[in-house]
Amino acid sequence: MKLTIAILLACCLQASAHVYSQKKISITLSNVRLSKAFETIERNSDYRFLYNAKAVPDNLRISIQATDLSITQILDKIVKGNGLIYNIVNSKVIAVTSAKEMMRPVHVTGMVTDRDGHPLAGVTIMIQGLKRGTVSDENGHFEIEAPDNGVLELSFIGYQRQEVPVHGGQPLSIVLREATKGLDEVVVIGYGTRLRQGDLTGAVTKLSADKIESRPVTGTMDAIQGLIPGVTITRQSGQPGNQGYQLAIRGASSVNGNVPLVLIDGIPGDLSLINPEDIQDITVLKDATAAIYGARAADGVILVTTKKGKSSDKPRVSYSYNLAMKTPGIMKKATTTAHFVEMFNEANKNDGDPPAFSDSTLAKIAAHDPGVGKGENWSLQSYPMFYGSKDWYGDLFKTALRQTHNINVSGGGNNSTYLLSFGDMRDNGNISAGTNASSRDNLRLNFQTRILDNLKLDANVSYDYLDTKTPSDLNDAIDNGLKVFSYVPVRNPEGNYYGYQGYENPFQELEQGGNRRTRDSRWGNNFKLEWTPIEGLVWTGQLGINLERYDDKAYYSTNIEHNWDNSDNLLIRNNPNSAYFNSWSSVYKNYSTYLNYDKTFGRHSIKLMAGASREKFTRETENMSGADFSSNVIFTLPLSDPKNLSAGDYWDDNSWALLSYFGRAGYSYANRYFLEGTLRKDGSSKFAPEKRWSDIYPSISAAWKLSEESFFKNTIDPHLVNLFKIRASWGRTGNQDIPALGLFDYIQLISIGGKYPIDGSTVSKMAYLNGIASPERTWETIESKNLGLDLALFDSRLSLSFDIYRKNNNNMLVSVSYPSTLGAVAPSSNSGKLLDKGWEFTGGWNSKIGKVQFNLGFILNHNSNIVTDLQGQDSYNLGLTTARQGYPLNSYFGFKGTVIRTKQQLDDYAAKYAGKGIVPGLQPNGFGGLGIGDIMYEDIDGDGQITTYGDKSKGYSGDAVFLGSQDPKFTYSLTGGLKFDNFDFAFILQGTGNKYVWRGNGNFGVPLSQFWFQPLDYFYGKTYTEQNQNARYPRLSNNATVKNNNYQFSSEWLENTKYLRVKNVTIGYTFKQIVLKKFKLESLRLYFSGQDIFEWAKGTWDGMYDPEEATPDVNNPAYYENNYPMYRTFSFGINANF
Amino acid sequence: MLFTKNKFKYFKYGAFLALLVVSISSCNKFLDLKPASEITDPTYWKTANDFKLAANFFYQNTLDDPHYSGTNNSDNMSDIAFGTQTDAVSAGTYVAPETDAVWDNAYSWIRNANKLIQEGSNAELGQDIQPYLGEGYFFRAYNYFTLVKLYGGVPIISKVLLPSDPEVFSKRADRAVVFDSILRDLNFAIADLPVKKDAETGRICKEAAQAFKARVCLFEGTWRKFRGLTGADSLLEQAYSEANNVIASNAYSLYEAKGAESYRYLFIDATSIDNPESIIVKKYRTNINVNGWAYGVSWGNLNPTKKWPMPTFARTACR
Repeated sequence: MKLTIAILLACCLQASAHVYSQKKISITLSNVRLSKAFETIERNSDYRFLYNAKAVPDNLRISIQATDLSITQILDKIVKGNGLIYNIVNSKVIAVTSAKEMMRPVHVTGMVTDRDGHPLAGVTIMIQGLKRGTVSDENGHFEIEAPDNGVLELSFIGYQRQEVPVHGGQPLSIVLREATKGLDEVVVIGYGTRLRQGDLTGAVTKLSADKIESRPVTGTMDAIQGLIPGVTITRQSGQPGNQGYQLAIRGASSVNGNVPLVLIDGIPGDLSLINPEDIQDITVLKDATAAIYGARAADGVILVTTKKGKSSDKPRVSYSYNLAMKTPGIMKKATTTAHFVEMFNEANKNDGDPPAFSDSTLAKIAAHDPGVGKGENWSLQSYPMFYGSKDWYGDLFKTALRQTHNINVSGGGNNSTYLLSFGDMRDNGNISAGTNASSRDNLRLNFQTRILDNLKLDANVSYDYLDTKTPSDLNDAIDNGLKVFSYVPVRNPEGNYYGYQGYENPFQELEQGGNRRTRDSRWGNNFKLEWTPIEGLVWTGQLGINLERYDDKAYYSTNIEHNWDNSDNLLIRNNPNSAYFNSWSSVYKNYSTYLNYDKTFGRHSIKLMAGASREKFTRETENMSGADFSSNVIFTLPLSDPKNLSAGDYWDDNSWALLSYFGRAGYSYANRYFLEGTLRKDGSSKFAPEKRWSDIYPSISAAWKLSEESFFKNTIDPHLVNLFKIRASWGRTGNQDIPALGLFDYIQLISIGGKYPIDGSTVSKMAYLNGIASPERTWETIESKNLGLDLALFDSRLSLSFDIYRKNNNNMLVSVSYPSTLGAVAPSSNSGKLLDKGWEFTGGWNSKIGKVQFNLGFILNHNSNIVTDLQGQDSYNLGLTTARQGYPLNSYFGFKGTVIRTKQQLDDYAAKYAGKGIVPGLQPNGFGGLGIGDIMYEDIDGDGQITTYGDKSKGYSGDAVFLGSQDPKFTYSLTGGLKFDNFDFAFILQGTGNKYVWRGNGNFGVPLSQFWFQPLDYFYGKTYTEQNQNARYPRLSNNATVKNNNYQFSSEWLENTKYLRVKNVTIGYTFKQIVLKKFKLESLRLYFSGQDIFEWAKGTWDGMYDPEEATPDVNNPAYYENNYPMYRTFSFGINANF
Repeated sequence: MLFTKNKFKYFKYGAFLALLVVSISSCNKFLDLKPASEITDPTYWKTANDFKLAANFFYQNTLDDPHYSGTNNSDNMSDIAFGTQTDAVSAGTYVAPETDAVWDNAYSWIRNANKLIQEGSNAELGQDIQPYLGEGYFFRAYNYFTLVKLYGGVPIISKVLLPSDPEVFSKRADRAVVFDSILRDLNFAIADLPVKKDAETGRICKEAAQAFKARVCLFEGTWRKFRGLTGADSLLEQAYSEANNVIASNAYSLYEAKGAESYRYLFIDATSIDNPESIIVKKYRTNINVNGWAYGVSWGNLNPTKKWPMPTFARTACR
C-alpha cells in the first residue's frame, strides 16, 4: 500500500515537470543575458538552442515583453539587430551565431571508454554554454546535435571532467581518466559555503554514502564507527532501541559533557534516529572550521546531507532488504554447580571453616543426580538442595532476527526533483522471555524546485519513529540471571516458576513483571529558499521546525513465585502493582538567513558570507504514577487507587533560545594560497542578561598548495606528487550546551514540594530556596589549533593526511567548593581549564590491477586530555573519577598490588604493614586475617602504612595512584574493498589502544563478593591455592576482613580492554539488466554481511565482557552486571534498482 | 544610463537583503525567556501563604527524626541488641570525618531561615505573617542549638549569602556569642508566635518556643555552672521562669486517651491527631510521612538479645 502511494506520487511529480506550452509563447525578460533569454524560451517551448558562446557578445542584454507570439516573432526581436542570425533546423533546434560566422549544428557521435578501453555507460555529455546534453548508453556510445566548433563537457562520477572540442561531424573517441579521488569533490562547510576538497583550509573530513549503505547496522551511529578520523563512537548496550551510542570528535573539550553539533541539511538533528540509507554524505568539521557554528560547536560539527532526487526521464526506484541474525556472542557465565561448590569449599578451607558442601553432595553433583536433598549452602540450609546445573544467564538470551526494508523513489524534470524514501526496521532483542523489540520507521520527502529563474526552494520533510518494548524489570532480570545459583531449577515439580528463597526468578520477572514501552516520534520540517538576484550573490533563508513527542509508560505487574512444594512464596514481586507515565513534547524552531557572494577575477577568488540565526526550543514534560491498580493487566490511571496517584517531580515547561550573527570571508590566489576567516557572536538565554552575549568568536585558517608552485612542479613529477598542501587553523568556539547548566540558573528559584503532616492529618507542602542563583556564569570558550598536511601521490591513487591539534578550554565551568556556611552548593563558575590534544593520520590507496578495482584506508588517531585546573577540587575516590586536576578525564585511581605467594613475602610485608591502614593483622594460617594468597600493596608514599589518601600535612600523598584512563589514547581502523566484475568485497577493522576497566564494585567483578551469590565461571581455577601458586588472583574467602583486603581497588583487578574488532565484512554480487517477464530490473545486488563478527581483545575475561563496554556513568557500578549483552550479526541483503 | 540603473538595482537588492538579515535578529527580547514552570524569587513572597509554605520547610527538615538522629543500629548500644563488628568509638579507632551532614544541613536550613526572616521583615503583610516570621526565628535558633551542642562555638550567619560574600569565610564565633544569638532569636519568636489556642494545630506556638528556650537555658546554664563560667545562674533562672510560663499556660496535659494503656499508645496512636502531651514532635501519618526503618533488624548489623521487645523478627531476604 505504502509503495503504491509512493509510486503514484512520483508519477504525478514526473508529469508536472513535462508540461510545455506547445505553440504560442509568452515571456517577459528584462535586461538579461542572451543565454538567459534562450533558457527561458527553452523552458517555455519545445525548442532547443545551439549557439557558439564565443560568437555572442558578452555584454549583450535583452529586454522583451511578448504575449502569445510565435517563436519567429520572438527571435526576430531578440536576435536580429544584435549582429546575430538564427536558423530553425528541424522545427526543434534553433542555431544561433554571429552574422559573421554562420554556425551550423552538426550531428556528433562518439564513444566513451575508461583507460583500459572498457565502455562507460551513463556518462553525462553536455554542450558547453547550454544546459542540454545526453547520456552515453551501455556501449559507451552517444549521439548529440552540437554546434560546430562548440565544446562538449563530459562528466561521470569517479572520473575527471573532460572538455572535447567539436570539429564537424567526425566521430569522437574519448577516454576518461579516473578522478583524482576526493580532491575535486565539493564539500559544504556551513551556511552555503562550498569548497573543493582540495581547497580546504581546515581539518574537515567527508564520508560518502557508499561507506554506510547496505550494512547490517541498527542505525547511523553504528554505521559510521571507525570510518572518520578523529570521530569516536562508543556504545553501551545491545538492547534494541537503547544502544546508548555516544559520539565524540577529537576527545573531550570540557568536563561538562561533549556533544558535537549534528546538522541535517542545515538544521540540528539526531544521528541516532535518521535512516542511514537517506544519507548522501557526512562532513565533519573538527577544528576552527567549526567556529562558524560558534555557540554549539565546541565539540565540532557534523553536517549531514540527505539524498536528493535527480532529473531523469522516469522515476528511479530502489529497494533494499536486509535480514540479520543476531547471536549473543559475548556473554557472562556463572559457575556451574560443580565449580561453585568446589570454589565455596575452597573458601571455607581458606577461612578455617568446615566445608559447606559435603562429599556426598559433591558426588551427587558430579553424577548430575536429579533428586532433591537437604540444603547445605550457607544460610540456605532450610531450603532444598539440587544437584543439576543450569546456565540461567545463558538461557536468558537467544538468537534474534532483525529485518530492514528501504524503498526510495526519485526523479524529476527540468524544474523540480524529488526523492521519497521509506525505511522500516524491526529489531528483536536477544532476551528469550517477555517482549523485547524495537521498530524504527523513517519517512522522508526531499523536494527541490525552481519557483522562478533565480529562486530555488528546497523542502525536506521527514518523520522518524522509534517504538521500543521491553519487560519493565529487564535490567533487574539480567543481573538476577547471574545471581540465582546454577543448581536451582527454573520451575517446581508442578511446573510453576520456582522462587528459591528470596532470589528472583528472572524468567518469571520478564514474562509476568509487566512491560515498558517507549515511543519517540519526530517530525522534521526544513524549508530553504535560495535567491540569486545577480550572478555570484545568493541569499538563503532557511526555516527548520522539529517537533518531537516522547512517551514512556511502564507497568509493573504483581506476580507471585512458588516454593518447591508449590505454596506461594512469601515475597510478592511488584506489590502493589504500579505504573508510571512519562511524556514530553518539544518544539524546536530555527530560522537562519545569510548572504553568500562569490567572485573570481583573474587569479583571485573571493567568497563572502554574512548571516544571522535564531533558535528556540521548548519542552513540556509531564510525568505521573499510580499504584494498586484494580487490574494486573490493564494499567490506566483511573484504575489506580486514588490515594496512590502522584505527579512526578520532573514536570516542566521551559525554553531556551539562541541568537547568533556570523560571517565568513575567504580568499584564494591562483589555486595556491588559501585564506579564510570567520566571526561569530552568540547570545544565550541560559545566562544572565549582562553575561548573555559571548565574545566574538574568531577563526582564521590558511592553506598553501606547494604542489601548484612552479618550483615544485619543476623538481617533482606532478604525476608522482599531485598534491602537497599544508594547512593551519586557529579559532575559538563557545559552549553552553552543558547538562549541568539549568535553563534559568541565573535567577533564584523557589521549589515547592514535599509533604508533611504538620497538623497531624493533612499534607502540608513546603517552599525552599532551590540552589544559589549564578548571575556571574558565562560561556565556556574553547580555543583550538590545528596543523595539517595533505598529500596525494601517483595521480591521487595514494592519499595521505596528517593533522596535529590542541584544544584548550580556558574557562570551563567547574564546581568550586565553599564552606558549608554558604548554606547551599555553590553554582559552578568559569574557573576550570582542560587541555585536549592529539593527532590524526589518514591514508588511502585506490587503484586498479587489471579488472580488479580496490581500495584500502587506514586511520590512526591519538588523543589525550588533561584537567589542568580544577580550582583545587582535587578530591577523588578509589576507582573511576570523572575529573581530577593533573590527570585525564575518567581516570582510575587505586593501589598497586601483587599476590603474596611465599611465606617469605608474607613475613616481610606483615612485618612492615600488618594492622596498619587498610591492611589487616596477620593471622595463623591466614584464617580471618592476612595470609599467603592475599594481595599486598605498595607503600607508594613511604609513610609505613597503606592508606588511600595519606596525611597531606606531613607530606604523604597516600598510596592510591593513577592506574589508567577509561578512554583510549589510540583508536584506529583499517578499511578495504575490492571490485572484480560483478563481485564486491569490503571489510572494516576497528580497534583501540590501551583503555582500562574495573568491574570490581559490583557483585561479580570479584569472586564470591557475597557468599549468597555464585561467582563468574571465569574465576574458576584462577585463584591462589597451595596447588595453584601461580594463580592470577588472590585466594578465595568468605571472610569480610580477608575480602576487604583483597578486593580493594587495585591494579590486580584493573583490566586493559584494548581490542581490534572485525566490524564488518561484506561480500556481494550484482546482476545487471535483468528482465523478468515484463518487469525490468536495472541491477540486483545480493550480499552477505557480518557485523562485529570477531575480535582480538584483552581483558574480556574469556569473552564475558564486551571490550567496547565502558560505564557511561561513574556512579553506576551496576552497569557491568545488568547491561544487555552485545551480539554478533550475520546478514543477507538485497539491493534492487528499477 | 544603463550603468547607473544597474547601480540602483544593486542598491535595491542590497538594501532588501540587509533588511532580511537584520529582521530576524533585531530584538534582544528574544532571549528574555521567563520560566514557565518554575517559581522565581522575585515573584514569590507576595502572600501570607507564601510565608507559611516557607515556614513549613522546617517541620519536615529540621525536626529530629528518631530513626536518623542516631545510627541505624543505635539499639546495639543497649542490652536489647548487639552488633557483630567492633564499635569504632568504643575501640578508639574512630577518626573524625572531614565533613559532617549535621553541620552541612544545619547551615542549609539556616540559609532558608535567614531568607524567611529577611523577606518577612521587609514584607508589608504585617500581622498576617507574624507567626511565620516567629517560626523563622524559632527554627534558626533550633539549628544553632543543634550545632552548638555538637561543635561548641560555630560561625554565625545571619543573612542569605552569595559565594562572593566575605561572611562565607566567617570564623567560629565564641560559644557565649552563639548562645546570645540563640536566645535573642527565641525571644523574637516568643514575641511573634501566637499562644497555643490561637495557633494552627501542630505549628510551633509561643509556649513551645518558651519550653524550647527553657531547655536551651538549662543546657547552657548547667554547662557553665560545672565549668565555673559566668552567666550560669542567670541562664538557669531563665530556664526556671520559662518552664514556669509553660506550666502556667496550661497549654499541655498528659495523654490519657487510652486509659491504662496510654503510655504504650503515646507515640503509636493512629487515631490521635494532636497529642496534648507533645510540645515539639516529628509527625508520622500513613501515606504522608512514614518511617520505614523502625526496626532495621538485619543479619550481622542488629542482632536482638532475649530482651528484645518484639517476640519475632523476619530476616530480610537476600537478593
